[in-house]
Parts: sequence; C-alpha cells; structure tokens
Amino acid sequence: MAHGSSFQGRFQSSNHQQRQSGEQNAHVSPVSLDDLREIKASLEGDGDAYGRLVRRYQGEIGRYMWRFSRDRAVCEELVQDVFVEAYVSLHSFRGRSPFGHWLRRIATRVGYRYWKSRADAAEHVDCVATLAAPASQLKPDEAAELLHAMLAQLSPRDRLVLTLMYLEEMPVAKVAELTGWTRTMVKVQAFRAKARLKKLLKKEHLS
Amino acid sequence: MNEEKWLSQMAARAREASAPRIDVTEAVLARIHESVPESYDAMAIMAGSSMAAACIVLIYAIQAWSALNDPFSTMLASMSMVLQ
Repeated sequence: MAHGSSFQGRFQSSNHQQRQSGEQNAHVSPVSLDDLREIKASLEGDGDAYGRLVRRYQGEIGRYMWRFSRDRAVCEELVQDVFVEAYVSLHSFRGRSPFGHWLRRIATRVGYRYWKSRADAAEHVDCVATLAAPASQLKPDEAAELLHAMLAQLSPRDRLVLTLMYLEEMPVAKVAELTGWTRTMVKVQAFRAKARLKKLLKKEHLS
Repeated sequence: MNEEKWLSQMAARAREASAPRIDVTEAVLARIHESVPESYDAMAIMAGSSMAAACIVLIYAIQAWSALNDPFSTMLASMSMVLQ
C-alpha cells in the first residue's frame, strides 16, 4: 500500500513551514498536525493511518455526498469512491489547503461524474401539491427531497452550481475552487441555471 | 414567488434535514487492499514470465554458440578430401 517515501521532503517542508510559523507566529499551515501525521504515515504504507483519516472525514464527506444522491446505498458508494480516489492521489496533496477542502474537491468531481453518468435518468417530480406548498410548511426531509428532484431535471452543470451555491451556501470563489471553473464562469452558469429553473417552475405552475 | 426566493427558502429548509450516518472505513480499506496487491501480483507474474522467456532464449543461444562452426572449416574439410 506504500506510495514510497519520495514525498517525505514535501511533508518535511510542510513541517518546516509549521515550525517557522510557530517561530514567526505569522503564517499557520492550513493542514492540521494530526492530518499531516496520518497522511505521511499513509504514504509510507500504514493502512491504519489512512483508516483514521477516513474515520475523521467520512461524516463531513457523507453529508456532502448526500446532496448528490439521496439513495443511501449510492451515497455510501460515492463516499467510498471519494476516499479511494483520495488515497490514489494522496501523493499529489500539496498541503496548501486543509485536507477536508482537498477531499471536497475530489468529492465534487466524484459527485458531478455520477450525475453526468445518469444524466438521462432525470427524476420526475409528480407531486405538484408538495411543490406548491411553501417551504416553511414542508418537513426538512420533504423540502430536501423536492429540491433534489427539481434540480435533477437540470443539466449536471446547472445542478452543481445551484447545489453548491444554495444548498451548501458557498460563495462564488469557493464554488470556483471546487469546480475548477473561473469565477465569471460560475456566475454565468448560476445565472443560466436559475433561468432554466424558472422555466421549470413555470412549467410546474409554481411561479 | 420568483425562482431565487423559492430556491433560497427550499434550500434553507432542506439544510435542516439530517444526512444518514455512514461508516465506510472498512470498505474503503478493503477496496484499497484489493486494488494494490492485484497490481503487485500482475507485476510479479509479468516479471516471472519475462525471466522464464529470457532463460529459454539463453539456453538456445548457448547451444547455438557451441554448435557454431567456422564457415571456412567446412570448405577446407571438403578441399582436403579432394586433395587426398
């Protein structure tokens, strides 16, 4: 399971950076020492260390992947994909952002790929009565289910940008970071996605 | 109600919903263990078969080298027979 020890230098430099930050009290490395330790051990082939990383982040990633599929089995599969993909690319983790952020970038890619793979199988919203009800009258699960089904009728790109901006409440910069799009592209995509959602809501007699 | 308001209100309500708790640690580690030894096995099989092929070629090469004659020796042998 070892990736080899050729990445040790990078992690040493991260530690060095942290030592420097301790000395100068000016710059703090975004990666926690615990994460750094587990990542280094994982790269040296310690499977238990990677297990500890998975245990630490699976809740956060699980909640995030729940936005991509509300089927528990599929969601679990997607979370597994995220961690397996993260393990394979662990050697490329530069430590410039917290490990959780890096995982979210992978998770976004995995989730988007999943949506693209089943783009033809758009879910249909057949409960107009639920659709017409104001959000405050719906149970949180009903609202989540309804929103999920409505967004599922959009293209994966539209769905992704609206999910991240509204469900995850992310600013444009963060969406750009996770998707790899430019900020302008995110804004344009969001504008177009909302226009398409408006049409969809009109079709369902909601606006 | 415009789409922006609908989306914001629905998303706010949806965020109150809780996601199921999942534990994928064992499954992830199993998948990693599964994929890595496979590649090592494949590499070992490739290395073993390459070595076996190289050994066979080497044996034939040694035999061919030892059976190799000087092209002039056959010519001289026939000439000496004629001269005799």
